[in-house]
Amino acid sequence: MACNASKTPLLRAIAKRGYAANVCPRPVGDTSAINVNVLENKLVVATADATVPVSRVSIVLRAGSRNESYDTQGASHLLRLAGTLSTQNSTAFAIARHIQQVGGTLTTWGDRELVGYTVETTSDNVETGLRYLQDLVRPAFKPWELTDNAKTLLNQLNAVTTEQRAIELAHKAAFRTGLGNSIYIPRFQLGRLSTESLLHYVASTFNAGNAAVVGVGIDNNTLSGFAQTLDFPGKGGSGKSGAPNYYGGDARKDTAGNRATVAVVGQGGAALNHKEALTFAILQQAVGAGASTAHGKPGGIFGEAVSCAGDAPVSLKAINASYADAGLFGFVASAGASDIGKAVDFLVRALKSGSVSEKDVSRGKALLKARIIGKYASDGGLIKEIGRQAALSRTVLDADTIVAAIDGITQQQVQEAAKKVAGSKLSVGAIGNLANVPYASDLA
Amino acid sequence: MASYIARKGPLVFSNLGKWAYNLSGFNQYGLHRDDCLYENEDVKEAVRRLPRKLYDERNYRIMRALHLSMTKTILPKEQWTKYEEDVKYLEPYLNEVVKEREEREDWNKNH
Repeated sequence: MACNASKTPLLRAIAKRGYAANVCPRPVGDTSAINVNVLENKLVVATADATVPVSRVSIVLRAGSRNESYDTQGASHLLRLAGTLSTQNSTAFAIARHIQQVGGTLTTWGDRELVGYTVETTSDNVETGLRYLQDLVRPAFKPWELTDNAKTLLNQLNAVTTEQRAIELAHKAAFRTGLGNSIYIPRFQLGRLSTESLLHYVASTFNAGNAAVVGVGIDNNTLSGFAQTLDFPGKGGSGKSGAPNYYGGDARKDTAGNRATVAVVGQGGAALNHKEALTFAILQQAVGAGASTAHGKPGGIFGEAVSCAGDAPVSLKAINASYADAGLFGFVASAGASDIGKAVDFLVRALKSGSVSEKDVSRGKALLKARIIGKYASDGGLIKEIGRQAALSRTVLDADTIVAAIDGITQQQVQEAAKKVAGSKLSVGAIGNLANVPYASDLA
Repeated sequence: MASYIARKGPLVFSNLGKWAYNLSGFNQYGLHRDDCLYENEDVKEAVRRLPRKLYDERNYRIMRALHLSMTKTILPKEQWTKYEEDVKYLEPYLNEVVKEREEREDWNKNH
């Protein structure tokens, strides 16, 4: 607590000075320069300018579901919930009210690798946001708050779409453990995760070497000062988990109804191999990442494959999941139970063909560039993007570098990426009425 | 949960305190001080937060006391709660509940 007393006035002085100089430093739609520095305790701090005088600050930790063991499955889901719970230093009431009072928001997000806490306030109230953001690295997980929020958790589980559940199942089939863990708490774990095991999970994953503090609309010195005072419960360095094995196979869940959702994936590109990750991202756009118009069909070979399969309506999306040291590439399709078999058949044939035309690659590049610049151009997208990059790769690339790297990728390389997926064993995750859904061994 | 370890015995030991404790008589029913608190909103909330084991023990002591009272008897002397062994098991939870309530009241006063 002693550290709090010395910190706040200092923060205030620096922050005020920073804001006086430039209130609205970059035009809307322009991509921002990004400052990255690494503190002595290996914590990465990255900042960028904002388009409006709103400050967003994130603490991003490598504490996602891949770090869970069999017994602690769902711990990372509870970390996302922890944004609304009491911490060791302040109550849930104080966090919510103080941030609301200055018109701020506090959001938590997470995926298989990361958990992030983001606070968003107007620039003159950034201190209030930071004051409560720093507490979130020490969640308390009071047992009665966990039981009080059991219903919230259940509602969140019920709101998970079948597409998402099919993708979760495909991960389970592909990696079994680690990256195979669902980002949602399994139902059998509801109410089973004790305060002690959650605190242990926090202590083993929340440390400076695993974390990044990123900000948009806050200057780098201020944020570094804030980051230095963060009191992480874990003292170890970055706990690198070993590279995951890819297995492949089936994970199926039969449910009532007459629709089926199927995710089929093969091995994709790892995010830390930057070029490979970008190649797969281009491939995803090239084969049909999603329709550009509402209710439309995606282009590329996946879109054509669905058209060839018949007139039955099929909703389709190409999946490209790049994790630090592994990746998945494939598609998720959803259709009526009687049509899904044929659609999956045609789509897998397209996936296995391993061919992409020049035209598709250039379209893929254009789409990917638009998507990346779109992310970098809005403050909300930027904070998430630099948070991810800083936490995973300990550095952040600016938009120009990425766009240049995309331009440098040839059709040949995209073709090789497509061949890599085509050559790998497939994983099938399926949920719904699975009467006509093929097994992974049938697709080989 | 290291911060929820209950205090055992009185805060400051005194013979006067011991005399008053024994005079109050609830220990002859095997109750502890925290079993006899008037159940206002704070106490109710604190009791709700008790770990299952403490909660069951509390209920057992209260039911036993009601039974003894009904039969107009008391426990044999070796089973009486001793002044030095009275566990203030609810205190850490109650303090937290009161602090949270005061925080809410302060907020409502100032905003």
